[in-house]
Order: sequence, then structure tokens, then C-alpha cells
Amino acid sequence: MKYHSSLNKIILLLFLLVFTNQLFAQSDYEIVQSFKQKYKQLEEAINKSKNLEELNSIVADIDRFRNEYVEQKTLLDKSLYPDNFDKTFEKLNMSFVIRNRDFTTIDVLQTENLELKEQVASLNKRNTELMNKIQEYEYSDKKDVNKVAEIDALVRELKRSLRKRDELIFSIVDSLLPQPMMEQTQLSSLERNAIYIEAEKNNVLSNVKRSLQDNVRFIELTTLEPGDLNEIKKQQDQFAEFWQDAGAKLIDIYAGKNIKSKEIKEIDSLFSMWNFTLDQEVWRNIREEFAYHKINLIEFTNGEEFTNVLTSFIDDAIKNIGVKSPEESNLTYSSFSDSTWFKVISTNWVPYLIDNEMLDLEQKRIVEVNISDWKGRLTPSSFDWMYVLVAVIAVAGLGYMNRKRLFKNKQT
Amino acid sequence: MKLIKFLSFLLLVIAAACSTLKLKQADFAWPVESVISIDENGRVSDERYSISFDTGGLFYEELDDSSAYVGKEIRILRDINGYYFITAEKFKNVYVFQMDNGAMVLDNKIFISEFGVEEPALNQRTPFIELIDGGKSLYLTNNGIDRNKK
Repeated sequence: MKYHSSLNKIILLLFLLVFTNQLFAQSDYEIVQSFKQKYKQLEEAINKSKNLEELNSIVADIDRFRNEYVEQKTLLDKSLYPDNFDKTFEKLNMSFVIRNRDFTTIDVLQTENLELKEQVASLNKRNTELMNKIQEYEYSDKKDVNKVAEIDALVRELKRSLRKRDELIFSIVDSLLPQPMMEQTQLSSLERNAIYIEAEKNNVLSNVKRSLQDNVRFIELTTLEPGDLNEIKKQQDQFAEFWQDAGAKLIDIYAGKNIKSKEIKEIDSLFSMWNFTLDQEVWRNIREEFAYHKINLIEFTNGEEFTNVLTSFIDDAIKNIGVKSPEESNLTYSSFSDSTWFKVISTNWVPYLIDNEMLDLEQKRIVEVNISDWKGRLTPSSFDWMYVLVAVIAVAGLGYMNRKRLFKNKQT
Repeated sequence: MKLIKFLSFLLLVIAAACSTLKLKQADFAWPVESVISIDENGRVSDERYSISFDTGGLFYEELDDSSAYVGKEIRILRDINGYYFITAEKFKNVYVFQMDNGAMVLDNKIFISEFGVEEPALNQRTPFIELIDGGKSLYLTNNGIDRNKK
């Protein structure tokens, strides 16, 4: 009986030995492929993790993965060409570190965000106060030197304050859409939702709208020099660049939310209005510059109209030579040409107009050819007087010399 | 006797003069088999080992149909001595090839099963090549199946 029992045990042992041997006969290729697949899954999990907690939970999976395959290290070292077992885990750890840094940055930015939101609110309030004050002064006595100085100081402060507020809004959007997210072509619905909630908390759209409205109002309230306009143009370029990246993402995030989509469209049209207002401000300032020198021109809103208005003014002035007194004609010419065009417009405004494609060189040439023609028509009449004067002097001189000679002859 | 000694000496001299240079202890073994899909022209190529050849002849030898490669993949593994072991699903044999002047030349055809292998896999088990099919292992050399290796 005992003999049978030990025989059975031996048979069972042999069977298990053969069976397990067969069970564990495994393809090296399959081992390598399954290793690669698990690596890819973990890498994806790292990159797709939504927060630090989720990311940290992957650490244990990486450890398990390593332990599972450590016995196959020799095979994997040879097979994971051009990497090896250790290098593969180094790469995985590197992905983890990079993703971790993303979340740390996002975390820091979100904390900063709360402070930024408060600062934007206080700057919004301050800007409104400043603008109202400037408007009040605009209606008051402009000859009061102290008040003019005060307005200048207020405008400078408002400009700084508006700029600061815009930068804060950019920072808020940057913190909502950090660089890694901006580079993603398509955001997941979870990401879109998270950003939507944060954007709403920070009133992103209304702040962007407010910023554009204030910038338009600033232009309308103040009288700007070409230098200031260049600065605003630069600001507009920055906004255009910002809105091109962030705007596209925000449109994606707000897609399907009708009211908000409308608000995004409003931002687009406000930006166009900002550009338009700035251009109109330029033409208005140029017209005012002429008016300051008593040259009253009809309104113009673009380069072509500007050229037409100036040339038709010159045509009229030429027609009036001989009708008006020469002094009056000369005064009109010198006010237009010397005091306004060559002294202010051509030196200060034309470079800005040409740089911003509001006027081209040909249009400038047409105006200057007309001015030269005008001058040419005014000068001959002056020359006529000169000739008459010279002739009178010459005749008088000759008469005098003749009388002198006759007098001498009489004496001899 | 003298003549025999002379001839032996002569043979030794000739043999020494004819022997070619050999760099020994070479290891041609691939660590893991390559599983390569066959393209529409019947060619396979492996980027890592920079090898590429036409499989039409192999399928003709195995299935009497040189175009039976369509949609199939082959498994190839090189042993320590430089022999290429090739098989594929449903093949009855493992083919052993050698390189020769721009061609893969058949060195041996090792019969495995009348029904063909179902899920074959080749492992490097130097000096053998292990063929696994359904959990069952066979140890191969370029000469055939090694029955002593368990």
C-alpha cells in the first residue's frame, strides 16, 4: 500500500514537472512585446493624468511593472534595442518628473490666480475712476495750467494702470491654459470642463471685454501723439497674438455654451473696434492739427480721402489766387504748407501713417506735388512785383544818371 | 616509407597554404525572434538586423503556392552559428537557412508536425533554438531536433 502511495506521488510529481515545464514555455518575443505594451500604457497614463493625486498613484504601478519584469532583465537588455531595461525605466521616470512639474506649475499658477483676480478687480475700479476724472477735466477750463498738468498726470497714470490690468488678464489666461495645454491640438472634454469652470470663476471673458472697452475709451478720452499711438499699436499686436492662441482655445472650451460663444464674438468685434478707433483717432488728430493753424478741412477717414481732401483744398486755394488778396493767399499757403504739412504732418504723422499702411508713398507724393504747384503759382505774382520794382528802380536810376550828365554838360 | 613521410609533409604544407583566415568565437545569435509581416510583393525586411529577402520560394516549398504569403507573417531567429531558423503559422517544418552570396540558401528542413504548427514561437536558447507550439517545446539545431535536451 505504502509502495503504491509513494509511486502515485512520484507520478504526480513527474506530471506536474512536465506540465509546469510546458505551461511556462513562453515566447521571448511575447514577453518583450508585452513589456513594451505595458510601458506604453504607463507612459500614456502619466501623460493623461489629470492631477497630482492621479499621477502619484502611477508610482506604485511603475514599481510593480519593474518587479514583474526584473527576472527578464537579461532578455530585455538585449531586446529593447537601442534602449535597455534600466534606460526604459529612466525614460518612464523622466516622463513622470516632467508631468509632475506641469502640475506643480499649474498648482502655483492657480494660487497666483486668486491674487491676480483681486488685483484685476481693483485695477478695473481704479481705471474707471481715472477715466471719469479725466472726462470731468476735459469739460473744465483748459487754460488753467494747473489743471492741464493734472490731466497729463492722470492720463499717464491711467495708461500705466490699463497696461498693468491687461498684463494681469494675460497672466490669468496663461495660468488657465499653461503651455503644455496650449500645445495640445485637441483638449479632452474633462480638460475643457475644468478650464471652463476656472475661466468662469475668474470672469475671463468679461475681463477681456472690459479691457478692450477701456482701451477704446482711453483713445476717445485723450489726445494722443504719434509716439503714444505707436505704443497702442504695439499693445494691439500683443493682444492679437494672445487672442490668436488663447482665443482659439477659449472658443473650443466655450463651444456649445451659446451665451458665452456670443461673448467671444463680442470680444472679436471689440478688438476690431479698438483698431478702428485708433485709426480714426489718428485722422482726427491730423485734422485738428490743420484746424489749429486755421486750415479747416472736411472729415477724412482713410488715406485716399485724406489725399483727396488735401488736394481739393489746394485746388481751391490756387483758384482763389487773384480773388483773395495776395497777403491772404500767402498766409493760407504758409499756414498749410510751412506750419502744418512740413513742420508737423510730414515729420510726425506721415511716418506713422506709412508704417501702419494708412497712407502710401504715392499719396504722399501727390500731396507734395500739389503743394509745390501751389507755391509755383503764388511765386510768379510776387516776381512780377519784383520786376516792376527793379524796373522802376532801373528807370529812376537811369533818369537820375541822365539828368546828372545833362547838368554836367550844361556846366561845361 | 620515405615516400609516405614526404607525401604527408607535402599535404600538411598544402593544407596550411590553403586554409583561410577565420575569426573565431563569433556569436551571430539574435536575442529574440523577429516577427515580420510579409508585404504585397512577398518581401520581408527587418530594420534592426538589416535583413530583407523574398519569401515566395519558402511558401512554394511549404505549401506548393508561391503566393500563399498574402496576409501572413514569418518568424525568424538566427542562432549562435549564424543559421537562420524560419517558420510560420500552419507550417509543418522549420527551415534552416544560411547566407550565401546575396541569397538565403536552405541548409535543412526540420519536420515538426503533420498538422502544422498552430502558434509557433522561436526562442534563443544557445546553443539551441527553442520552438514553442502550444506550450510544448522542441530544441533545434541546424541539424534537426535535439532529443536529448529537455
